[in-house]
Amino acid sequence: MLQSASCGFGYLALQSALCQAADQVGGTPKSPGPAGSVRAKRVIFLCMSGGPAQMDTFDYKPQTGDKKHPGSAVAFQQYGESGLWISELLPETAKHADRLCVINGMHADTGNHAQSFLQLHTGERLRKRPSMGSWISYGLGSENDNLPSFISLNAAKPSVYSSAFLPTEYAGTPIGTNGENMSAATIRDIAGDHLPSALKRQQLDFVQQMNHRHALERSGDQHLEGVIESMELAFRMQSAAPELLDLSNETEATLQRYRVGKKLSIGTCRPTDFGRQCLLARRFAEAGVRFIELNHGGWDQHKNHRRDLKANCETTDAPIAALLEDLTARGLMDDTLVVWGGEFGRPGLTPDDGKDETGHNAKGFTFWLAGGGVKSGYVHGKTSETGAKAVEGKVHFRDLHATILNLLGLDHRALNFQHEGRLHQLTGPEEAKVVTDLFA
Amino acid sequence: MGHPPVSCLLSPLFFRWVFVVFRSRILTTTRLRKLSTQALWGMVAFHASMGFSESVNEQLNFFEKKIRPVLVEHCYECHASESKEVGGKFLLDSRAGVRAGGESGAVIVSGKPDDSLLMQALRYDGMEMPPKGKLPETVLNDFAKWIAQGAFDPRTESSSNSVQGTQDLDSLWSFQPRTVSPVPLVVDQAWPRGPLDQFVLARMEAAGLKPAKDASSRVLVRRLYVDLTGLPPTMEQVASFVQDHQREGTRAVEKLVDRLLAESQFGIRWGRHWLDVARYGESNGDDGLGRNATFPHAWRYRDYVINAMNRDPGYDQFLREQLVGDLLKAKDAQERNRYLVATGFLALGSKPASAMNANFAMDVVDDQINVVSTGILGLSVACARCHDHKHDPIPTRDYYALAGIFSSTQTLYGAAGNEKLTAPPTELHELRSKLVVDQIQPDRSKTPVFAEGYTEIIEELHPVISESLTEHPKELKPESKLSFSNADFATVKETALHGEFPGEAESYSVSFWFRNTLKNDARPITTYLFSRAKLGDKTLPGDHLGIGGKHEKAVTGKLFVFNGNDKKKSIKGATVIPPNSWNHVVLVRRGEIVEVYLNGQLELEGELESTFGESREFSLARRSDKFAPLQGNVGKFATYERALDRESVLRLHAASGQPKGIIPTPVDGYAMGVREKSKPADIEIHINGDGAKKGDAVARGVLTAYETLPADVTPRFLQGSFEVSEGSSGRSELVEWLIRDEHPHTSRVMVNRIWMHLMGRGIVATPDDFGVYGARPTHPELLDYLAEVFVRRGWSVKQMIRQIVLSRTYQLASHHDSDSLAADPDNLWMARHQRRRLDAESLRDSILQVTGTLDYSPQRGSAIEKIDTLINWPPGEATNLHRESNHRSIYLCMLRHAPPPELVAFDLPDAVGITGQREITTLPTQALFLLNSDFVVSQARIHAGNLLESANNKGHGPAAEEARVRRVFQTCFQRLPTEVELQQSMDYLVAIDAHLKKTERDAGKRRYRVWQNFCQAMLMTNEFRYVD
Repeated sequence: MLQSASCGFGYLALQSALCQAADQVGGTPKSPGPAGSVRAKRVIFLCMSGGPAQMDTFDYKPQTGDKKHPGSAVAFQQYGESGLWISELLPETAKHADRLCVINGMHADTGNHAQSFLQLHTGERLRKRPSMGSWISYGLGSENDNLPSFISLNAAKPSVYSSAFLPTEYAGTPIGTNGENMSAATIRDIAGDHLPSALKRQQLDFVQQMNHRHALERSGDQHLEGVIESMELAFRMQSAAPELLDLSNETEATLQRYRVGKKLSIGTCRPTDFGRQCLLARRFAEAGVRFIELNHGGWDQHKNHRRDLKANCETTDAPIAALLEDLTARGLMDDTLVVWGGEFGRPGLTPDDGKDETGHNAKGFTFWLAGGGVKSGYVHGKTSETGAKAVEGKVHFRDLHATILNLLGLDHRALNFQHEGRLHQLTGPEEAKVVTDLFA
Repeated sequence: MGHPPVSCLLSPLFFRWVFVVFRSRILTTTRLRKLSTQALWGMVAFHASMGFSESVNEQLNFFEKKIRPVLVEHCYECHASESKEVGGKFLLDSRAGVRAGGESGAVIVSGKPDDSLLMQALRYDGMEMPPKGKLPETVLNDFAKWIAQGAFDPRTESSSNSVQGTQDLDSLWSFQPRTVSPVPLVVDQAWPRGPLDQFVLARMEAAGLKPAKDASSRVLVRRLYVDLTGLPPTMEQVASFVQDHQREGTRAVEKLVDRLLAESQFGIRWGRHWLDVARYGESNGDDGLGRNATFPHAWRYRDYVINAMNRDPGYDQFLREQLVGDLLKAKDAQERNRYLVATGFLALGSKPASAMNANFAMDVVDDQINVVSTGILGLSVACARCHDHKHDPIPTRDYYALAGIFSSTQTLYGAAGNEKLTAPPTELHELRSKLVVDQIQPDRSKTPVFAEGYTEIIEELHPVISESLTEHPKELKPESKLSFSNADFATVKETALHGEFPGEAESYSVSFWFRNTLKNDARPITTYLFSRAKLGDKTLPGDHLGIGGKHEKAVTGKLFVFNGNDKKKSIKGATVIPPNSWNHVVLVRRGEIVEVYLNGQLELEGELESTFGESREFSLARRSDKFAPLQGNVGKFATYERALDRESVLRLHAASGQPKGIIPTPVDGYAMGVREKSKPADIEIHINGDGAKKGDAVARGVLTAYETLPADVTPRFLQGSFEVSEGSSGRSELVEWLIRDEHPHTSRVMVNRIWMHLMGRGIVATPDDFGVYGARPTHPELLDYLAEVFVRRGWSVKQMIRQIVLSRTYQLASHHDSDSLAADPDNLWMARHQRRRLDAESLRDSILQVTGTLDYSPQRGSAIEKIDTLINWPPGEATNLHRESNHRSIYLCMLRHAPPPELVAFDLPDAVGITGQREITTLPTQALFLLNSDFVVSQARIHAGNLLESANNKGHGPAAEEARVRRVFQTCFQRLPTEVELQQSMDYLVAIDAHLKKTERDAGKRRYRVWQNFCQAMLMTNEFRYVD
């Protein structure tokens, strides 16, 4: 379609009579919707950008044999009934060992940050494609009339939350992009104190009166009608979103548990206020946002590996544990899929060789999932003794994508979109496999 | 290039002319013979039918999903051109192969699966293929269905780059030459104003549609103002036009159009359109490592484009300047600078980080290929970096033929935020106020023989020390044993001569001759010549005169003065001093000012804090801390305990009898751009787009698809022999090829872009894709007619715009009866005009105009013109580089991934890719911008202030309030309110006032807020933001 006229967020807009009309004349395209069994209804993606060191977090690689080889540089311990091995740097997350479904056999195509990061998000390394969150929103729509279905916190750039050729209503709504201060980041222009709310309503009523008359004189213009509708949605967002973004009604204990406002800035570890991100994620999940992405950058520990690793773990450990705890306590864990991981992993350090530097490794790394119908206290796949590459239970990004979609009841082959003369899907042209071994 | 008047173009005479031009190229002799019997208007050239085909898409999908994967997986091993031994002597990896068959005859009988050998083999009926095992029944059914439906096969030949016979010619319409079709006959002969309208009306009538009414004068004038200048008209401008229009009709439109085309605001509107295509941005955008380097000089390209749109040099010349401006002969310095700036087109793309990226250089080339191919030709060539294009006839070889041209070109993007991980720093084009001529420096390779009386003049100026250094000096202390001679003066290497000034006077001068024998890039600093500083002090307090080395490219071989590690400031010269040359240098410190003269010319001057303090010591031929000693010679050394005035310095040099230096014209500014590399070369195919594995080298060249179109079907656009001349990159040849009058793409693509901006939709709906999967033209004959007119009229963009806006088609109302709407919801046949939203820039500019705050003058420079940095770095420490401005929005700082907040909500392009057509989305974030943004709220406040404080409207009564409402309607909508609107407005004002009474006691303040509220409401309306 030449002009992508779209009207608002997710299914909400589709539900309106207006957009149904638009559909009849080839307006907003609809997806087939969920087909299979639905294990999860929403996703929280804890995106760990930079390439987290799997051997110092979840993939325990002790020394074997006489010759020193690359492996874990920090101490590990078994946790929970499942006896999952977890790094000593993640003591809080470790308390939830029995909830985690660890995938140690991840692999990707390239050790180039930008390309692999894009592939993780969109399935494609080089070109602008819809983000996973957009595909899922397109597939399932929104659960909340007053909020976007896809929210991306602390994203680096639009290409990772873009809806690309999917209708723009499925694009991620960014909160804090391009290095903004995450402790204060919000939806742009979501609030304004120039008028009390009641007067804003009166003002909008007057505007809409004008707009309706204007549209009536130009009957049949779907676009004008769409604007009228989206202004109403924006008005509702004004009251719904700031409330969600305002953490002042959380108890001091909760804020403390999530480490809200705590910002470490050491080496590659960046001050992302990951505590606020995690707490917002819980609140968005409760409010019915379909796909919530959180970002903590700084896992790219080329130099000072140990120091920066420690800072990155410290920044994310307690907030993630608090999130898992709250999701469980509030009964959301069953239908919320939590996904942890980055664009690739790192080779391990070799003990006593005096080095403290690591590069990139796309041939073997770790993701973990939790909730949303996956096994708990379970480890899938493994890497070689030195952790250099995945050797068993290999899972590629496209397999991970297919699996996530499947958990949401979506078939990755059926969730497609016609663009530039061919059908596109999140998993790309190559065959992807759903890793059913992960399912509870 | 002269432009024939429009009337000529619309006349049969023009067609006679076109006919003459074209016949040699297009028409065969038989056709010519036929033609002689036909009327001019009935002239016939062939034109391919170019209808839409949904079923083609379906068939293609079927092939790609069901057939190709099976062929690749199960058959290619033995039946592909790259197979070791081709089984049965037939190939299945190309359409031609499938069609040709092999030893046993035809593999496929189209439409007849049961008769096709392929089917029999797959069914294991007589033959068993694939040999490893019979394929599943579902796959066999797919193949049977595929053959039954005609065995649609989009593949190009795998083994050659020919497209002959393998491509659906219809889908390659854009590669075919333009054809001049007869202007079609129409039923309603009274309606069209010229051929353009006739072409449109013919299609409209064929679709059973009738044109809508003509737009009213009011609608037309607003449309013209917005389309040509990006701004709505003022109320007065509307009134004046309406009057003229009623009196003079179309003549009034012509007058208005000519006036708007001549306004400087025109270039701002249309320049912005081109900047979208040129992916213009003032920073690199996220490089993949979170770093986003500013481009502090990019704005010059923006100004160049605005200026070019206003000058209208012809699109061909416009392209020439942007691709090879650095190679064009300029008549003066201004033109030279303009040409250099124009090449920024190739340099300002977004680049991925160079860190851990062995392909960085090729990524830069890729962006250049992309902007040229997509932006100018409407073809995506970039896919061919890794593999032959999947659907367009563009093989990988073509990509590397183009890549050779750009890799033989040096891209100058600048410092890249001074972060080498982002991109290695490059030089920039230097802009100067004079054309550089006669810059040959005199020969200074021989030891100077000084004129008689030189020593006397040195003495006349009362030196403290004066040593000729032809023999052992009296007042200088050589650190080691040196040779002194008349032939070479003092010869130095790894040593220095020390001395002292008599006092601590803040001003002093020193004069000497030197010869440096080291190459200028031999060391980080080529050499230090002289230090006035405490000897041995590591913090280097004092003045240090030296010649720059490889440490900083901009100073290599040039003089500089550095004031020590505490202040760390240096001032730099511009002349490169050739190694082994003898030069005269005079350093003058006058308080806080430093001047350096080189060969009797002021080389550098500037403020440089004095840091030598109480020290009287100096070191000649080496820095005070023994760093970077001179290898060469020094002579005729003299110090003065005062600042010599300019006259004395010049006299001093003149007395030497040596030739005066030639000072290069100072650099006024820098520009991004390109220039030739010293050793242009062809490059090798990078297999899978990766530099690690390389194939054959490809001769630099252009796209070959035009060559390979079957000659019997259509006359080819012959590229002739594309040969790159010795020692050049091939850019010149490339641009001359692009702008050949008969090039099938260049003119069509640009004309289509112009049409799209005026009509809301291109004749080809995908302006950046004229390839196989792009849209087909709805009006192919019209497109070619316009392209032809465009070329014949010297590629004038303004003339093309003029012709389109003066057509009756453009001037239709945007409203139509419901039957017509239903019959053509997407307005393919243009029976009405397309209603459009103000774009991001026009919305902001319109608001500023309404409130009277818009500054129409061009803004000089950019908020970041002096800032080489990384944006928002480190993360979490956001820096706002944007500055408030009341100039047109095009001048706001267009940082990639950090766009101006006033524009970001309304589909601003990301400037990473080419954006021929912006998205038009409707999102709640846009409504939030109107509801709450600082910009809209503050502008509404200004508007309210205007209303309440204007001298002629201070009244308080209902009549005064009504007058104000009228005034707001007039400024925002250029019309008066209806009775109903007036009443509703008054009711609304009363209601707000009543509401505010609860909290705001001050009647004056309350009134202000009431009107602010009302004014903001008006800016939020669709009427304000949409153009009929």
